[in-house]
Amino acid sequence: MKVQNGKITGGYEFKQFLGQPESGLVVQEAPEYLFVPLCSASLGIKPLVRAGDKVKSGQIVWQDNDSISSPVHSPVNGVVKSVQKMNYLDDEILSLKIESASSEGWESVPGSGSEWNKLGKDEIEKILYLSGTSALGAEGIPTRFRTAVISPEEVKHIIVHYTFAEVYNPDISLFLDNGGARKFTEGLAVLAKIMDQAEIHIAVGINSSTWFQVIENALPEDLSVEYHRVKPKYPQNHDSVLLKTILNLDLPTSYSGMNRGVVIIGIQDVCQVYDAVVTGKPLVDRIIALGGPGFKDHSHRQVKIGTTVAAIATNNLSFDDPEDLRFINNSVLTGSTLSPESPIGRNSEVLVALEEKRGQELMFFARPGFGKDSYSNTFAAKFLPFTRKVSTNLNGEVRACLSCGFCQNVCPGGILPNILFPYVERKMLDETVIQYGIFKCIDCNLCSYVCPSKIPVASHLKEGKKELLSEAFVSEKDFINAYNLIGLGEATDEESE
Amino acid sequence: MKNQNRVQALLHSMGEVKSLKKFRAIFETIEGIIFGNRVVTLRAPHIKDNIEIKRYMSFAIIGLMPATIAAVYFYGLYALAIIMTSYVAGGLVEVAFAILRDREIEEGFLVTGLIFALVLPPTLPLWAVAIGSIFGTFFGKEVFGGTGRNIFNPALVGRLFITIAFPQQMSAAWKEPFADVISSATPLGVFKVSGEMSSYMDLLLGMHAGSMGELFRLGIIVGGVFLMLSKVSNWRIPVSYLGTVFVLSLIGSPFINTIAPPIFSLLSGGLLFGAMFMATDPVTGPRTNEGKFIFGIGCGLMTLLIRSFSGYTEGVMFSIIFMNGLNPLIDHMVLKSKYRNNKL
Ligand code: SF4
Ligand code: SF4
Repeated sequence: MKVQNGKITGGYEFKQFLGQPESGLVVQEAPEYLFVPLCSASLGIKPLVRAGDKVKSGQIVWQDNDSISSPVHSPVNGVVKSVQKMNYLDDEILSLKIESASSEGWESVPGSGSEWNKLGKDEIEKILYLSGTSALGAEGIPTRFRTAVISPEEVKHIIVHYTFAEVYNPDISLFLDNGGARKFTEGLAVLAKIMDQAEIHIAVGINSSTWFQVIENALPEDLSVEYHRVKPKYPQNHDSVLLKTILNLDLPTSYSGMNRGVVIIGIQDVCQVYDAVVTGKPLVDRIIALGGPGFKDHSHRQVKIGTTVAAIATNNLSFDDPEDLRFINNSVLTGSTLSPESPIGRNSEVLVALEEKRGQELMFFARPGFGKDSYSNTFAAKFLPFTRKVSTNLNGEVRACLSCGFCQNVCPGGILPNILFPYVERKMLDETVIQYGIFKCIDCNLCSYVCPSKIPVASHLKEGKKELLSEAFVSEKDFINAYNLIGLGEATDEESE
Repeated sequence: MKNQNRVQALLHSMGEVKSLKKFRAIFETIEGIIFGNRVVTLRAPHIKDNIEIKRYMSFAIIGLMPATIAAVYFYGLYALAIIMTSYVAGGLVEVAFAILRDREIEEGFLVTGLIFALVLPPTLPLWAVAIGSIFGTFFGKEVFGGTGRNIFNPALVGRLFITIAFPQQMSAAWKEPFADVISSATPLGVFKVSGEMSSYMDLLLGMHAGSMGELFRLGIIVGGVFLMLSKVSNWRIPVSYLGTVFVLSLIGSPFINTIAPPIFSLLSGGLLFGAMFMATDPVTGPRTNEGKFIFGIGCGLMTLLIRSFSGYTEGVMFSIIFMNGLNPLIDHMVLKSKYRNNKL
């Protein structure tokens, strides 16, 4: 077994934050009502069921063959209450309100079974499609059913990652312990079969790299995998950084690995591939890690898709008033805020609850800071093994840029955010900013995190990039040519997800 | 907790009273200092680093503490009076501008006010201190728009001004620690005239005449290293600045007798203080890492040239302020060459 070590430019390790997910798993009963996200409201594709219809767990309730999408299933047995618009992950979506009668069992996907090896590629892809599994991974799993912007033949690499890069990360042992590794590796074998041109890479953060041996031991003989030990530094989990550290490929701004023929997928997603193909289980539930001091119990939850945040949080909050809390989807650095009525979607993995700290701290700047995280070495926490407190407070006041250079030292894109953002602020956008690498910014938000002057550096850069594109200083074509991107252009005009 | 809320509410409401509205910035500053802030993030990133400008500037002050305490120890209460005068005079300008702009008082002043005092001769009349501090704060900082926008180090602007405006008072104000007599002979001056050098021990401990904060070099080294380790100052500048002086004097001193030997060069005059605390001012330094090296090397070269080949004995302050002016150019050149092949 050969393990390679990955490097990252810049980055920052979020260590010992309060409220880390714990390893237990609680299977959560389906709540009375679920809200199943279907598609972006602007896409406007109606579900296959209507208010009043009875649905079974695993029954397909939404499907569209024209757009890049995968079918959506009812996660429970019950009755459709309504089709409604709601705000979800900074978008307006259509969702299905379902009253749950029972969550027992599911309608098995036709064609599945342990003999999957005898199936043709087309049949396996059909199972992944019909089970909704092809919606997983940041950009979907490519199949012949238009589930991603590229086809399976175009995939050159598959990266399965568990980088430990975020502030709150799910526990890897839930998926690999107790025979999990077998399922995981068999899931990998399924993916290798449909994307037969692809090399498989597994990237794991240094502190969990003992799992390489576990995976290697469970690996089917005809499957070969490259292992990469990566630094548990944020944003190692972003597509652009993964491509650079593992494949030495460049990927600009917000393009996905898919645009260079790389499928990036998590361990839980690979396990679902196994479940779909071998046991016929449609994508009806997810294992969610609970992070942040807002939760009392940090065990993982197995929840039905469409379960609301409120249902998960009930009786598990360390604050009396939920108004004092902020719920965040997946990443504290880049994730969207979730309202208590928001559902858990197919790509949710971590649910974070942080305190909205509007209260103040007497003489805060003169304290030793035993529980204060900082990129700088100005708080005692840096040198002591204590956990670090966390809240949504700005932790300071907005000031002019000090040119302290923190932002450029952590920037994974290797650019100088402090030089770039004033151009955006002063609306002096032209070729110079492009030459200085504004499109190497991958929107990781780390510069905004470390800034002592509390300047929203990353938002400025994001806005600048948008302006440059809308004023036609650059176009998608330029990126396609400069970086050999695929899966873009006409074919994706109707892309929605 | 309850009292805290009451005081806070009071401060807050005072800023809203009509007749006091003008001073809102001041009340907000006080509130900010005592209580911190109540603002939360709006969107991702949902969390923010704990470092903020008050902590940042407090650390700069801590780094300056050994030099400051030594100054007071050496020159007694008068040193304290100089520091206070510098703060009060410059502070008035700060407050006036804060009210004018309706913005909170900027914390950077706490550092420049102290640095300005520490680069002065220990017996300078207090009126001269006040004028220098006001001038430095006004022309070095406020005319550019405040901390973060200024080009030149305000402490140096003030110091340069009084050097030019009050040459008599300046040259007659040197004194050895604990001594009563005025002496104008700093080790650099002595070296320039006679080629004699003070012992390294005396230089490290500051047993000779000089600006009051630049003397206790052991403490300056400790404070400067502390700042670099805490990431409040960037190591690139002191390392390249001091390194350049060291290397050039190592090469030059055997051949040219006005160039002092390397260790003496490093330990004399205001070099250590300047390299650790003034050249490292992030606002007036270059913004690129490569530029920081160029800046440091430029400062080192200029310092050595002025010390060895001009009529002046010391060149640290002039070098730094001169290089401050070149920074935009340095950054521009670095960026142009660094990204010359970058298209997208
Ligand atoms: S500039 Fe962009 S890539 Fe660099 S740290 Fe900021 S958000 Fe991340
Ligand atoms: S971190 Fe903030 S203050 Fe420091 S250089 Fe970057 S933008 Fe300026």
